[in-house]
Amino acid sequence: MHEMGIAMEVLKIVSEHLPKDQPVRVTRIRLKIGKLTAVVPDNFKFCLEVIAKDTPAEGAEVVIEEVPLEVLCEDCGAKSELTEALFICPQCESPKLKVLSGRELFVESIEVEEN
Amino acid sequence: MEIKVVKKVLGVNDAIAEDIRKLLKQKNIFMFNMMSSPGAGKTLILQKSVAALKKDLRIGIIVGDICTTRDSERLAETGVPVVQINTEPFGGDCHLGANLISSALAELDLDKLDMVIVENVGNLVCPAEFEIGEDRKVVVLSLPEGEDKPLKYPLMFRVAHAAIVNKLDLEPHLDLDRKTFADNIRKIHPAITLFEMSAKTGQGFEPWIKWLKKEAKAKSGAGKN
Repeated sequence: MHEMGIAMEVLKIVSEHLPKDQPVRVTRIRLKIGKLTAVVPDNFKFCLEVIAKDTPAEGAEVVIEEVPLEVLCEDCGAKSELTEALFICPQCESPKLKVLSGRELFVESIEVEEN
Repeated sequence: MEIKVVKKVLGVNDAIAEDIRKLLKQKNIFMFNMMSSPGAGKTLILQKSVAALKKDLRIGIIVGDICTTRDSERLAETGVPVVQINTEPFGGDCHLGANLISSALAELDLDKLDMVIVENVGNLVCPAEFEIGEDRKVVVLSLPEGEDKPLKYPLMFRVAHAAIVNKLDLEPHLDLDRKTFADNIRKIHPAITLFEMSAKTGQGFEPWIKWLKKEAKAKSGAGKN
């Protein structure tokens, strides 16, 4: 359960990006979370909602874009998406795979409106 | 109004980990991070590893646990400096973040060390996500946990450089095939360095010690004497 710690980091990043000159309310937080991270989106959403109370991000909609686990086969050169974490090329069954995407954990953007 | 952010959530942790990496490079210290679920045998492996290595290498240990100092007391018996981190005052965190490692390193005399061992909090999920500036990540899996664990916790086995299958002495009592453990680990990470051992009986322990010596030597050169 490290989602809470991660939610705290997200809230910090959000507050650092708010306009300084006017009071705003955060309406939406967009995140990218890769399939190959140890973050459970629902747990994470819950944590973020809880700690956002009494901050400008209270009530903000949390939108998570899950990034697929994409690999490049170093033997046959095929790019594939893995739907389960078995690291075998779906084309040629080689185990020599390079992870192209899936480890992302990003705050992509926030949407704010005047308070 | 939309504000573009595009910022890594663990950016702060990663930056501290990078600082640790630089510090250890400057001090010629090899650091490895041992992770497993609770009860896989990390502490006994480390007690025996330190006993086998301490003639040749100067070792310091950082131990993470949510509560208690039991593991650090066991490890302190080996006679090397041990720093205990209890994550409970920080909310019972399930892993060691780079910030905690950074403060623990400050308590060790790094000019007098060749190797730092981090025994992470017992957990196969969260520690996999946090870089701590280590040279090598080692995951321990014990036979009674079941051969499906690598498939259930793929990130941990994917990020680990080496894996230890421990408690081989229990094989006769368990209804499982030890080869499946190795096969499942390699399904997640084909190039991983694999050790099979019983820390209790000493079976299979020697290759692990040899590997540690080799890795430490590669980092610190001929030593500091």
